[in-house]
Amino acid sequence: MLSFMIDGLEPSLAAPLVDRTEKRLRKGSWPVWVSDGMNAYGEALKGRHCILQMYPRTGKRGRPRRDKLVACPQLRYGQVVKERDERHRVIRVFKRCRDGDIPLHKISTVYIERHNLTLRHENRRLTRKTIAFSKKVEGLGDQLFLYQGYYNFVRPHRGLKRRIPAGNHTLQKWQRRTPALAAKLTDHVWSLKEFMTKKVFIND
Amino acid sequence: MAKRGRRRTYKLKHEACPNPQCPFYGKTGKGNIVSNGTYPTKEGTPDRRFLCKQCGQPFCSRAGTVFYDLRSPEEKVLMAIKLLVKGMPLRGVAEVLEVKLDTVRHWLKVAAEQSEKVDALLMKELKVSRVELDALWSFVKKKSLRQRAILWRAKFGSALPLPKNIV
Repeated sequence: MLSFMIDGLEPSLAAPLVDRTEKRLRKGSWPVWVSDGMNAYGEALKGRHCILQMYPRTGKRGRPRRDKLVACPQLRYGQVVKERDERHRVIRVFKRCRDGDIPLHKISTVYIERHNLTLRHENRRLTRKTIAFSKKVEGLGDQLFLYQGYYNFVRPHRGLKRRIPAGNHTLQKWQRRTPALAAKLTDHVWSLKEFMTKKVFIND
Repeated sequence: MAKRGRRRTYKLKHEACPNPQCPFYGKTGKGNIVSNGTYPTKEGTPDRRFLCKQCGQPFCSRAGTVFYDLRSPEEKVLMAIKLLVKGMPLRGVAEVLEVKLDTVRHWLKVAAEQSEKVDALLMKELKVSRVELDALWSFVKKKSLRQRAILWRAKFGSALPLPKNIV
């Protein structure tokens, strides 16, 4: 989990969300961006990565073409769009490539949808049809910040486990890994105490 | 290091000055930290206090952690955080650990601040091949004061989407 935003209106969130996410990414890396059918994400991405397309004077008659902003050629962004009928039932799901060239099998939102389920499962505030929902936005933000760090550093992810090669003479068959460990940010699974007593100095 | 007496169970070179104005702020192994006695905690075991010789800033071993300025035992705070992170509501935690609701709220707040800081420190420069963006709907209760005066039992729910994303 890289970042999250809380607000009342969804489209206004896209730009700060993309902003916050990009701060976590390596400079100059161009990942494939995938979202659902909401166009605000694409516009936010395009707003951050655009170049001015210049049209030189042709020498012919008539008004010259105006320069315009287009997406960077490195920007790759795809959408998984659900088509619904008047009763809001899904009829069809299709994938489309909005910017750049992406193979269609790489466009999917499976992981984030599963992650949403994990969030709903492990946070009582997000569980559906409960009365333990947040009463204040600050509380929800605190809970999610805590969970984000816990998820990344402390909680081993079953999908990330790795088989220890045979012959290493350990009883364990599998190495448990957290997302931070899998991304090689740390060398071990953190305990909660270690996470909570880590001293952070701002100019680090 | 002194040659006589009991050997130290802690390492001074792992401590760093927490004073942002100090030239050795956040730097370990500079030799500027000396131990400065102990102070009693509620758990019975005393905690270390240190002093930065460079700027004269005294600080304790809990400074910069979630346990700083908390009166409860560390195990209890950690248990509360564990319960919170596994989906227990605040009132549930308060009831199980026999503390006040406001105490749990405060623990959640300091834990969230710590988590945010550590996450921002380490989760950066990530090499990621795909980023997925999505929204998640939830509810946050909103009580409008004026309407509450008229309809004292009415409750208003406002739907808030929570977009977030993962690798």
